[in-house]
Amino acid sequence: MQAMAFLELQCLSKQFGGLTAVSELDLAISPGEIRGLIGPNGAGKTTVFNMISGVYKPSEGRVIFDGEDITGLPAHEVAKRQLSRTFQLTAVFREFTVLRNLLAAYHLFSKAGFWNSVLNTSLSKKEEEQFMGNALETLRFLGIEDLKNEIAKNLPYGHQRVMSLGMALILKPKLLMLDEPVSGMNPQETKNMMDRIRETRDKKGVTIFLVEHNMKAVMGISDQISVLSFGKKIAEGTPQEIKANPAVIEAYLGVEEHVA
Amino acid sequence: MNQVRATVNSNRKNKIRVFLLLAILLVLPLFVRSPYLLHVVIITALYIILATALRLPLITGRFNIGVVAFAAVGAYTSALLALKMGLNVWLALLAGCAVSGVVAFGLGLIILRVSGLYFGMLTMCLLEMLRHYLLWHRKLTGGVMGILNIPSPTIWGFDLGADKVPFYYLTMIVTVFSIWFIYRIERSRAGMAFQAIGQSDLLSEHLGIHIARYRLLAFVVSGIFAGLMGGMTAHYLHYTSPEDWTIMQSLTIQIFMVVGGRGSAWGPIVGTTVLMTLSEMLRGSKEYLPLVYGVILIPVILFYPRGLVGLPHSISQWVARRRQR
Amino acid sequence: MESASCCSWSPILSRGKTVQLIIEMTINGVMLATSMMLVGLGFTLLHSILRVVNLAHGEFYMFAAMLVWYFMSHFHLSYPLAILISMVIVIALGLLVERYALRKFRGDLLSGLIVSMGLVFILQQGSLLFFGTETKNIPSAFPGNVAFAGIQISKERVVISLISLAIIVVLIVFVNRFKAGRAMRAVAQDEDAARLQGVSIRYISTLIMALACGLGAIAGGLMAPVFMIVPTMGLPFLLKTVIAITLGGIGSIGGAVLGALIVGMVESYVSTLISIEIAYIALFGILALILVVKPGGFFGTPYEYV
Repeated sequence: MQAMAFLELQCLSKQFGGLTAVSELDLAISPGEIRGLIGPNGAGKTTVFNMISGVYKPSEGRVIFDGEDITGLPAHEVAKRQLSRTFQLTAVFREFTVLRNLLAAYHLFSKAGFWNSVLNTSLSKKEEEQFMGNALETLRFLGIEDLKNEIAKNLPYGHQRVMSLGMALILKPKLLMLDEPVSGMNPQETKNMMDRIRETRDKKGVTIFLVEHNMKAVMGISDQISVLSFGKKIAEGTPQEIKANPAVIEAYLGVEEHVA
Repeated sequence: MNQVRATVNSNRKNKIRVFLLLAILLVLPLFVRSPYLLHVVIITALYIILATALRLPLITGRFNIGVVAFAAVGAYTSALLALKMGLNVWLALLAGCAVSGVVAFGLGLIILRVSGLYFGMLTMCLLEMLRHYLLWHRKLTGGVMGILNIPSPTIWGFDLGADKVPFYYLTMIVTVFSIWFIYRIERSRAGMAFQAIGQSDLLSEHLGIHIARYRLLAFVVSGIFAGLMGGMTAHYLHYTSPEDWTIMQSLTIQIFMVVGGRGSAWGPIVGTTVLMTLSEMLRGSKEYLPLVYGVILIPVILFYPRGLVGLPHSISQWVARRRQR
Repeated sequence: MESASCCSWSPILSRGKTVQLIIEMTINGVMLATSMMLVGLGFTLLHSILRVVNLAHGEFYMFAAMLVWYFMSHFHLSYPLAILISMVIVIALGLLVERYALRKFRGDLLSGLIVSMGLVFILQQGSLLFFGTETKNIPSAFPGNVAFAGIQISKERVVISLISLAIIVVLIVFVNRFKAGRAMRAVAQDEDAARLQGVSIRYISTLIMALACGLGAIAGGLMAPVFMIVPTMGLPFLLKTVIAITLGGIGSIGGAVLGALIVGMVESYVSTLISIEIAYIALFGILALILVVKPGGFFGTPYEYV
């Protein structure tokens, strides 16, 4: 069952001045797995994501993705290697319409080049039409096609989240990192989102790495869960094992959570 | 409301507007005989080039307040090449653009990393530094006296600068081309990247957009067109000096752009035209002009942030609201 | 003094003269640096706490100098009194601007900058129209030199430097120790959290603006006898200050002090020894160098991005 690790974090650490956010984290995710990352607030989960996706340079340690050492690469290089992510504080292009948001995500796929694009040659036009078609299909897959001409900043957070998932998917990721994909969603929206996520792995073979506070959601979808507390990994295993783990329960003591 | 149809309609309306404007510009000299007025129109058009060029880096979040520096580089390069080296004026103009582009490239590599607004002030420092250099290197640049007797462009011996009308048409061609080209960049993939970067650095990067590279691109393009404007100005006035390229003038162009509307390609055009017209009406009391600019700017920013181009929209909304009552 | 004099670099200069020159340039540099620190700290306060980039900050400096001249020449007030009154007027002006123009743009840096652009035009041209175009200067308040170990030291420069430094020290202590200072830093770090702690943003905004304008006004008043007072002196001075701040690291007070020292020294030495125009080029060259090597400035934090 020990497949070659698809994403491997080796002794990963991050210090900000005197504060240690993440400490000596070892983590390995297999291809096609759905891995959850949980932990109390401030445990360092988003910092881990930031170190992988290129927002921060790790203070120590390495990040190996699909056999390649991507430690310290800037975000646009990481994106090129088909590792994409969504953000906790939803990042969308607020002034663009939903459709234009998705079209922007095709940036890496545009082969037309600067001059073709500026002069709007038929090569560029054809390409953009293709992107448009694909983008509409993605919106359909996510169930928000009728929102395509809405301006992003006018949408409720739930829809913005779904849209940002769409944008991350357009990058044809081999690994998709989701930072709190269902926070702020009602049960119906949550179920929708989790179904989409599961579908993404099942139908498209995308490995999923997600951070989430909604215990029911994350327990329900993950193959394996890693638990972080104060920057250190304190447990790792199947959802059943994690639920029963005393160290995990202690880390969460005093914090109200929905545990199924 | 059906947004797609609205877009198509506004595209058509835009095309009509552009066509009308071009037609007017084409026949203008037939109706406007006064050389002085033609002069004003030419100067306005040149300012429009500068104001338009200014917008590109602004979209990416870098406000090139000292843009006049690149115009000065273009002006002096072109003038010196044409005068001292006898280079054909057209080639000199191109060289002026190229040099400003290269300067923008080199400087951009260093200063674009500074955060947005301090960046703007650094470009003003750049302008000051350039002016000081121009004043100092008297042998080359003529110092405070500037460069005189700059030749006009010629076509097959026909001097385009001898009379206002030929130069008017030349200016119109150059200006329309500049506006068109910058507009096309805005609508291209690169332009989309510019807008993306301007809204969210973080997200743009994660979509694979190389932020530093696109910021540099916008900056260099604005440098090139600013250089073009500078060269044209020098060959038009047959004269250039550090007094033509001051900070206050650079700030004035900013005001033109902002009052017109910094969010739209029409903004710099409308703003420059309106304010230049205003400045002509106040010809008698020139000292009050900067004051007027400042006084106009503040209410515009406070109450009409989208600028004059947003005015028709605001008015129609206001009318619609009144009708509802 | 910003002299364009190119001194004769004769190797036969007597040792005494060389030392004299060096002392002069150094003190000149310190004086320039301290006045830049005053204006620069005000500017940094506005930027980091009020989130406003005030292009017109140099205009307050210029306006204060103008007012001092005005009161001294038209009303025959004494120098200290003139400085005091001009401070009050400039602070009042600044508070008006803050209340009606800048406050609306908290956080929207670009719009705030544009508004301040308009202010530059208004204040500069307004000063030109109101105070007239004739040259203005003020006799030195501390004329003459002090002899120290055989070297002549300009009294004026030393006094200005000392007063400015004293003010800066008081400011730094204030920001670090007193309650209002801590409130200011809280707002700089996280406005909402500060609000939750009971800090009145309106009060802080007013305080900061008053402080910044006051600092700029004092600088203007102190420097009024040193330079010729012209309406256009505001922006170039502010730009030099911006170079100093960027050198030292945007947002860092210690950085602003260090940057100002570097800029002051470079300007003083280069403009005396070579020429004032080269001084400016040298300044920008140094800035470019620092930015390449240390993108955030000396004490600034570069982007955490990779």
